Amino acid sequence: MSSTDTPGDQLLEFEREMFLNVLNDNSLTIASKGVAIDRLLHHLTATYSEKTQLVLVIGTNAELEDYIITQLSADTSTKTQLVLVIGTNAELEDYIITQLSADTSTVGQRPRRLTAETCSAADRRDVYMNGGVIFITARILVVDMLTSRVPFELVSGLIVYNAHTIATDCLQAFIVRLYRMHNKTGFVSALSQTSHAFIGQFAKLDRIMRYLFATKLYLWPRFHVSITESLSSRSAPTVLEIRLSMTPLMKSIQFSLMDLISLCIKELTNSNNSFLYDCDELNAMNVISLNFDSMVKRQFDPIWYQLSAKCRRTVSDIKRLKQLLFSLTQSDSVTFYHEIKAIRQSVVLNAETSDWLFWEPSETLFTASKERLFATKKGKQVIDIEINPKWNAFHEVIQEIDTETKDMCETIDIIVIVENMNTAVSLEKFRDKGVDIVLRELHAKCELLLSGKSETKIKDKSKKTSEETDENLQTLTQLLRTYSKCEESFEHREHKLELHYHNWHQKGIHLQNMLTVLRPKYVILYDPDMQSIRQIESYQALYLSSESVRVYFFMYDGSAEEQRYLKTLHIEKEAFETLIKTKASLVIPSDRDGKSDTHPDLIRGSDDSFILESNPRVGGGQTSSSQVMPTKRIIIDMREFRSDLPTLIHKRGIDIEPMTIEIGDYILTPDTCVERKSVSDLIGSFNSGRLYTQTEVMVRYYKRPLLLIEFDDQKSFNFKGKYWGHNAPISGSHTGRPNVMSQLVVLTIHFPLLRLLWSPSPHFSAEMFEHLKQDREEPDAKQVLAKSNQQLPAEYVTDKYDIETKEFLLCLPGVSITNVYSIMNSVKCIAHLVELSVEELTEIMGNSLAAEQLYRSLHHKVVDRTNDDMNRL
Amino acid sequence: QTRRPVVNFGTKLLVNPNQKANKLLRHLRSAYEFSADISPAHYLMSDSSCAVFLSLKYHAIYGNYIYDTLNALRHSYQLQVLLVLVDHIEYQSALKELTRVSVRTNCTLMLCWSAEEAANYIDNYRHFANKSPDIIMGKGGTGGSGADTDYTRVVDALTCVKSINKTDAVSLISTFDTIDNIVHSDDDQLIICPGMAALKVLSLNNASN
Repeated sequence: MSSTDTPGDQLLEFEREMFLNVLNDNSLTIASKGVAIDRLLHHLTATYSEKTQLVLVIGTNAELEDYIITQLSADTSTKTQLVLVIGTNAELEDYIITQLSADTSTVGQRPRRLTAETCSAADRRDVYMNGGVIFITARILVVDMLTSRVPFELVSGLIVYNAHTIATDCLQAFIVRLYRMHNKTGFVSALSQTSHAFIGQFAKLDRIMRYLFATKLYLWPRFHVSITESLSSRSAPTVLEIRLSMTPLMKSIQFSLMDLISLCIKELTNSNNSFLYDCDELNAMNVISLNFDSMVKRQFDPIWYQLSAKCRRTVSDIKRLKQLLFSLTQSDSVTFYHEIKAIRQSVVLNAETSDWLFWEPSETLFTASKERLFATKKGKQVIDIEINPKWNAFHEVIQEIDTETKDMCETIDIIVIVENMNTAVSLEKFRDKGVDIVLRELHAKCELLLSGKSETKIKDKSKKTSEETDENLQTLTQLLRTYSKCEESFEHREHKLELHYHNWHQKGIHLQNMLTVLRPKYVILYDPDMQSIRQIESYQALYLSSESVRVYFFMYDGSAEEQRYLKTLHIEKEAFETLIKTKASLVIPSDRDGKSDTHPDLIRGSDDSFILESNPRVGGGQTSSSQVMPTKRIIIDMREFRSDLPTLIHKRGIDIEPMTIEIGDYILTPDTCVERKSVSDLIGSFNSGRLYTQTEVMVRYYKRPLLLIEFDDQKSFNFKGKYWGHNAPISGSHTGRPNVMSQLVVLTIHFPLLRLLWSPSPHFSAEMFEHLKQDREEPDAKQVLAKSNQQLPAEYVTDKYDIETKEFLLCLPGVSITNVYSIMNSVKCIAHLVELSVEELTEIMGNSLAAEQLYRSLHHKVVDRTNDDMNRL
Repeated sequence: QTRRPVVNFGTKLLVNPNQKANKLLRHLRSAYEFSADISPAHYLMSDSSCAVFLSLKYHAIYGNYIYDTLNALRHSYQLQVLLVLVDHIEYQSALKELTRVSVRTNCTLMLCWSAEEAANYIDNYRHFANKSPDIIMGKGGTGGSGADTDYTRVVDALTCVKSINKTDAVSLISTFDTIDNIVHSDDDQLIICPGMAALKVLSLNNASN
């Protein structure tokens, strides 16, 4: 395996244990956040990087892949295996790949990454044949598996990273199932760090394990004995907790925000009492500390379309308030005030107005956030900016490190962990320019706010700053005097301390990579994060034996931030406790690994044909009815693989042929074409006009065009809901958007040939498809392609247009479905589009009126008229 | 076989007298009158569209009824709606059957869950019978719907960019005034705009390139 020259390649005791558990076994490993899962994947990849193996990895990201690949290339492994890895992300992949390729003396197969860009379909077969570890996207892998491009018999294993996503991502489950159907010997090992994703629903863990064909479950909470022992036997990092107290004004802002959030929640629960199955979960503390989006989804998903507009607005209000709550501690007072002011200004008095703006605490919120900037002295408003306490503390820490390392001549690397890039930008500015300049800038911003001008041209601001300094010379010189000392000390040693920022959005591997490369002695946790702390811990254990890394841990006392940090710790602990309990009573059937043919998930075909096929007593001489029947086939658009339906169709015993098709989503027979729409899709594509065009094309090229409307029987939708035209006025509602029922009616009036398929579940759809195919010809891929290539207007054929850009354009006045393609053909990018004159636009769009409209919307100041009304009030 | 019934279609919705007991009539907002001429269709919304109403409870007892009606109807009208009232908990097998029937007999299947909803469908068919398909042509269609101002459309356009929500879009516009300025601003300037995380800045730039 890997060489043991560098300490980084060594495994800690518990890591070795994890590794040995996972090796060549069908298992699911769930570890705490920040506990070595990435390193585990790295070592697995190293082990399987041999020509004689083929291991596929899904679910990783590019960063991790790169990391592992680079790491391993530095290794001296001589073996080749093919391992498939799925579910990683790009960063992770990059990490692994670069790590691996740094290895010079390797004879074995380096891990490779397969994405749509890196490898053409034709070359992929060779890649698989070469063996080794392959990081692959699920989309590509499923297509290759269905077209038998993957040599199933050669695959020695499949690694599913981020295994918790398999519960919702049917594509991954499909991959694992296909793999198990054709390969009975290889292993499936699943890794995950998101422990709480395995609990919460009935038998969720069991279900996920079934999807993964996993026979063993390994749990690695942070409090696992092996982990604590391994870590405590080594020196621990020195942690300096810096507890800051918030200023009185900040406190009162936080209080009012919390008040507002609880009021919003109260309103939400009161109006939906009968719907909510778990009212207790919705409280202010949970809302601020958990992922609110997923909570809302869980609570409201079954009834989302039945909620009144007001409820949905309240949900978005809570999100907004939560965002404000965290920007209170993160950004400076001026930015915060600006944000509040923007909200207040964008108020439009109509049905969409948020209620909280009129509640009492919001008044405190507005005044307090203003008071942070302006002090009233002798009846006059004077600018007196409250500086973020964390900034000062940060400044002090930097100075402390600076004085401490005075005698050393090399640069000192410090890693600063922040929640988002904005903080990093402002911290960097703060350090670069010194306190006074930052203050002066803030001051100038205040001036702008005070004078009532919204800061329109940011470019001009710097000029304005210099102009306005004259007027405020008095205050500024005072400020200058106060802060000049700090600045001096700064300028001298600025090059010595090098700050590296890591933000939460970058995946864990980024921090790990930084730690291993830079080997810093100081880490500043500007925003507290559990995962980072654990990574620092294991970094300490691995690389620094004699000295210990110093960690500065910043936290506001009694803040939402603190609350959130503690809650994440608590949630993980609780999740593991539940998982341990579940594991104790977990029953795993003996055929779970899917290596025998009797596993129920691996049997294809509808019930009756199943009996015929799997009956071992049917001898070779007899022909069973399934053999007589020609294999059924459905052509499915590649983009459809995000839904359950292809999986279920496959399970029914119908072969599926993945293709990129332009008309429809499913081609059942040469003249039957189905467009699938979930209810939210349906609403969206009605409003964008997409469905109209899609239907138009379908009707033109297929004799039997079908629109499949998938409503979920249990979840999300049933048509009793208000949204579906219940009590709605016939000619569109007063909100301006016509209701879905009317739109559907209009669609059927205009396309009387279009048949509707109503399906309460994907199972139902799959069954209907089978019925519709009965006694009919099989679709022919060539014909389908010919249809789209020859007869369609050019714009439908290629996929080269970016959908997002197209949608963006379509929203603009003057752009319609008829001219959007000509715009996209002749204009390179939106930056190019704004350069064009009206004349040029007319030429491209072929309509001077539309061109003028578009030009106006791009270049003229758009004013919200309703807003003017508000201001007049 | 069956010729199209000759009905002088007036201003009113025509209803087959066999529907007299149907609860949906109570909820109908359009004016209607009974006419036996339209048989076998149950409702005649325009001279080219008709509807046949079927309640699943009834279907469970008189399974042949719908087949007889649809057979008699044949292809008399351009648009034949099979309006099914789902009033039975175990509706899935019936739905499968009716879907197949509707595909075979060229009917448009519509599902409703209450008499009121059923009436709504009939009203809608009546109302939109000779209207242009504007409401499903989307924003890019005729562009004449008065409610949409340039402002709302620019906001809509910006929200098409992934990870930009409405609030972000509003604040972007209030800061930069025009799309022109947004496109020509660099990352540092965008960051200053409240609520724009670094990620969002990234995706906005991607969409404009």
